[in-house]
Amino acid sequence: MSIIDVTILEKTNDKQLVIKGERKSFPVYKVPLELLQYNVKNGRISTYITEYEDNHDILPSTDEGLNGVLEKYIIDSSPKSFKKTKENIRRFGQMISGVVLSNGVVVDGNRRFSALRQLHREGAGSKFGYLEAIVLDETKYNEKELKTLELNIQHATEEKVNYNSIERLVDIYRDIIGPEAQFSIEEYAAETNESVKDVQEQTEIAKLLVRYLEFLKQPLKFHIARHQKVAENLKEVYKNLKKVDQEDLFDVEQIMFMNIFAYPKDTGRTIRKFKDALADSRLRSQYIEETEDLRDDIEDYLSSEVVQEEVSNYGTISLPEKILKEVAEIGDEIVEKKNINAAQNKPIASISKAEDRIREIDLESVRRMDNSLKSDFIHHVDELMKMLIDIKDEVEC
Amino acid sequence: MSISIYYLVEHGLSKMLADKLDENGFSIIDVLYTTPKAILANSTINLTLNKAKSVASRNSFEVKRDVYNSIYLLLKFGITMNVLTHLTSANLNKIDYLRNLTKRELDIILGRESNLFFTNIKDAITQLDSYVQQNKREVVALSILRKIARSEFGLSSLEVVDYLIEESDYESFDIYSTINYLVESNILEFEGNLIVAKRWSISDLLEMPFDDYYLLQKRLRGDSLEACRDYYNLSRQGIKNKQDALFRKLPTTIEETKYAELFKKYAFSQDSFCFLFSIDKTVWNYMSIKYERGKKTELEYIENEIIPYSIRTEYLNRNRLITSFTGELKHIDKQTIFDEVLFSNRNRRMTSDIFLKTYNMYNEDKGFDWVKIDHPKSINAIAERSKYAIQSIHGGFRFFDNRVPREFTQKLNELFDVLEGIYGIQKIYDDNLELMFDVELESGDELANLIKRIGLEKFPNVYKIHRQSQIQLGPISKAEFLRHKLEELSGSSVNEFVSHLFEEYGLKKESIIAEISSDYRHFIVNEKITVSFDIPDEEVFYIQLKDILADEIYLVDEFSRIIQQYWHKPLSVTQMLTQQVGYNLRGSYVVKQTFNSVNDAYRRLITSKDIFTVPDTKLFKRMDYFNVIYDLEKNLNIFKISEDTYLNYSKFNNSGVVKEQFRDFIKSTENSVKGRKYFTLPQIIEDGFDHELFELGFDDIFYERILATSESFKSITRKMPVLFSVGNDHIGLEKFLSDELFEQEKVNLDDFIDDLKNKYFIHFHRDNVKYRLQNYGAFYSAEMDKFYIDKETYYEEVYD
Repeated sequence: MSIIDVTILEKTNDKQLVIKGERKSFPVYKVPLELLQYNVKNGRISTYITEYEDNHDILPSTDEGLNGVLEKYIIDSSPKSFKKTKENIRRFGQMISGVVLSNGVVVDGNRRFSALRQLHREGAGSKFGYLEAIVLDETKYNEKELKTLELNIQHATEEKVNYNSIERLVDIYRDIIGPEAQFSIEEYAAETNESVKDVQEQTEIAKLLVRYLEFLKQPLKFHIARHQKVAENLKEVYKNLKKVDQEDLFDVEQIMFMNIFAYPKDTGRTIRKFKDALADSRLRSQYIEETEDLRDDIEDYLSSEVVQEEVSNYGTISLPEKILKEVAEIGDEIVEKKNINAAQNKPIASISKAEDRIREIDLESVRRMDNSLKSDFIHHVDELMKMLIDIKDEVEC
Repeated sequence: MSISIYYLVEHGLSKMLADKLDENGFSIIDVLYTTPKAILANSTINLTLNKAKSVASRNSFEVKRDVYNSIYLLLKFGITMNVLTHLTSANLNKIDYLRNLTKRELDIILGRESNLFFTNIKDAITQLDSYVQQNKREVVALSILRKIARSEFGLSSLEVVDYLIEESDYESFDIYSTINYLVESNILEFEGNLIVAKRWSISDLLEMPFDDYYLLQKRLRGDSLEACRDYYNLSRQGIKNKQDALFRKLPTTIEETKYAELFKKYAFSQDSFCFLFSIDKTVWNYMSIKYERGKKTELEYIENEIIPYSIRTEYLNRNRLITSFTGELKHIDKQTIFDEVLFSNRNRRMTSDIFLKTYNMYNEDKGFDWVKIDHPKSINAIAERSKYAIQSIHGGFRFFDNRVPREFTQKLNELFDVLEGIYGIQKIYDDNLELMFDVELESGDELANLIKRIGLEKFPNVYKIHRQSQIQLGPISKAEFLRHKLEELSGSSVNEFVSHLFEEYGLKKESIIAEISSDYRHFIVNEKITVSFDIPDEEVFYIQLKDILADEIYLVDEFSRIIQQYWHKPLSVTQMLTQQVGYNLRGSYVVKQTFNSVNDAYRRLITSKDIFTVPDTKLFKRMDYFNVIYDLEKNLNIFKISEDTYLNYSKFNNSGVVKEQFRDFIKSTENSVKGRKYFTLPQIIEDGFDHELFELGFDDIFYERILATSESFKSITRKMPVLFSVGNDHIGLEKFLSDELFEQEKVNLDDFIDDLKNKYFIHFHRDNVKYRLQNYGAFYSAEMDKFYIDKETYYEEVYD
């Protein structure tokens, strides 16, 4: 439904936009703030929306009620950036125009919209009562075209999307994986100017995120993952799984999920340490076997009422200290064992090297040595032989 | 005769099957252990044996200490299942309970007279006792096997004796002799001084004359299922079934325990498998009949698994492989060695003659005589194919990783897309030095070479590369291009004409003179370019044009498109024409006559408003435009506030912000980065740097661009956050990364990327870092996923 009538709005200048694959120039209007509303599908606040819905069922139905909730989320998603934008607009006015739909939904410029709303409320002046924006007739574009526009805008700006954030993974889930997904990986890569390989990888990590929340028995509650800051850890889990055989994939994935608790908010470095151990089929089997009971305990715990209560009260999940300790201990042991394995080969490597060095001896040179040098040489040979006999005796006894 | 088999009836084996096994002399030991007797069982009895095994493999099954106290053993001595049912329902399930029972007591328990019943039980018990007395060895053997089965790593003879003496009345002599008997019977074996269950090797098995032994022999000799079919007169599937049944019967051998997992994972050849594990061919043959070979290559095994150094080295020698400078295993062929030698001499540019000598010396030194090359021409051919060589016309070739990052191709395309015509490739190179330094290209002909390597199809606007010195951008051929230019510049002297083509397109004067002197001689009159053509004389055409032409500056092709809307016949943009509408033709531009130069026109266009939003047209992708923008930024006349928006200084001045504050910002940053070699804005802010300009609330791009105007810094990367080097020298990303690596000496690649992110707030792409560091000569080990400042450091870590 169209609520913005551009014929009665003041036009400021023109701005170019790529839409439906074509670059066109559009007029920029001064749109009164009261006609505008936030985009509930904005990727930046997607996890806040799932949290709200988890706690309060449904979002407020009135425009102002909804705007009030979402304004707070836009600010919370990056308070520092918001403060900067607000100060900048207060001093210089709005310099970069946004994009809105004729039904009032802000497609690009949510932070500017929030800053203007606050300045206007605070009585900074009537010039802050408008958002300068291109107004697109929503009836002329389908949802996919609008999403494409959003992706183009997001990825064309220098303030790049944080590729490893939960918000980014949620976006990928919605656009490529989820029930309402509209993009193939190739299409998404083309629209965001990324390589297909990178988007493929991100898609796999987004799938891991979904399975992680299922493991927690909290499907699609993305805010939990945001609180836990698991994005980097999931990326490392993805890399670790690449070296695991098909039949062990499920078990190893569950073990890795379990470890995310043991190393919360980690940069991914600790999860990365498992890579070599998991690639070793023997150690992997051992790890799977040793954590079977522990995984059962965790599953029981995650299904318990205590956890459900914690999630609904605080939006977080924590594991009991005892379990965490055990997870970390078994994990450390496995990583350590891998190192030991490598170290165990060291004596063989050493003796082989010694063998190689001895082969390098140029016998012709030895033959040409004078007697004193020869005797020195023979002395070393004797010493070496003695050492070898001692080693052999030691090993064989 | 062996009564212990009846113990399994208590656990679910039918009496009939127990009788069958008993008749054939099988004891419970044959069920629980892979005894020679079990291996030699024929197919009929084997079926029964398998059923018994499945009973024994149930989780709840265990041979208890009092196995000979089970009333089910009485089945052997004429007691029926019916009687046992009565006894067990009365909880009389142990022989000891029955042994001292009187007839009267039994009558009461059963609730009836038990005459014959009682007598039969007593008889059976007597027979059982006598059996146990006579077959003490079987009884002791079972006790020993129970003990061994319960221990994790086996037990010494002494331990077995100690345990059994403690819990039974066996004599130590009996225990020792039974142990010897079990070892001699191939049921147990010694591992050092520990007794463990016998583990069968493939060669052990092949000494046993089991059923279908001949089939296995034939298959091991290499006969296919097809070949065996005729011999056995069975279908192919019939043979396969026979073979599968045989493998089910035969125990898992020592070799399988050790190697089956690897065999199923990697596609080992017979030779390599036998060499790597020092085993006989038969083992490989046996595995390949029983298991499907893995899909991963042998090289992946060598790269991924831990292998003793000497075996690895020997394997590489046998298979003519080397660990290349990229850390990958490669076959020693001319191409690989070419790349290796090139990499070892990566700081030199060499001609094929000189390279040939170095190449052959290397091979002589390493003993790689099969890759010797005799003629420099072959070197050139290999250089053409190498991913690591780049050639220039005059100076031979040098090491260069042709797999440049995708962004480089993208940037080149952005550059080519806005140009049209024939360009000297050296001009493209010279005008974009920063981009060229980014990938360490040294000249225009190297650039031409690289474009060809990447593939012309990756550059949509590149139509042709002429002799590595000129590039055709856009569909207009060289002949058409020259013809247009002659028309455009009609009236100029030949000298002015060639100077224009040199300055604007980088085309060499001598070659242009030669070309127009031969192909366009008729256009040169008295040393002047003279192309006669008409311009429209209708006044209304010029009035319409004047109305529509409002911009300060146009590109010639854009101008041409506009006039063609009003004049529908072919019409060239010439000085004569542009002057009619108040513009001058200046090279590729048409500029309003009020401006003295192209730069003036650009400058005016950019600074005429408070906010300048960069239009997405070719005019704003020209080098001249970028030069003007840079100049304006440097003089603090405009400021970049977003990717496509600039703010005029007047806007700041109106808000009370003066130029001195910007200069102070640069000065303060210079002071705050003293002692650093590299920095980013978020990094120094994190470290506590602050300035009043930050209060303006712009995005980082604004502040970074101000810093980029300083002589004290050079930007290494362009994306946000920008990485700056301190000082005035141009430093490439390779140098930066290698400096960072040098601080750590060796580091896991992902950890390195993390470190950079934590320190500089920049997320580098893994492939990019890998490419740059390798290009700079750092050593990467794929197995360790680590970078080392050199290969020596790698060796030290791995082998020292």
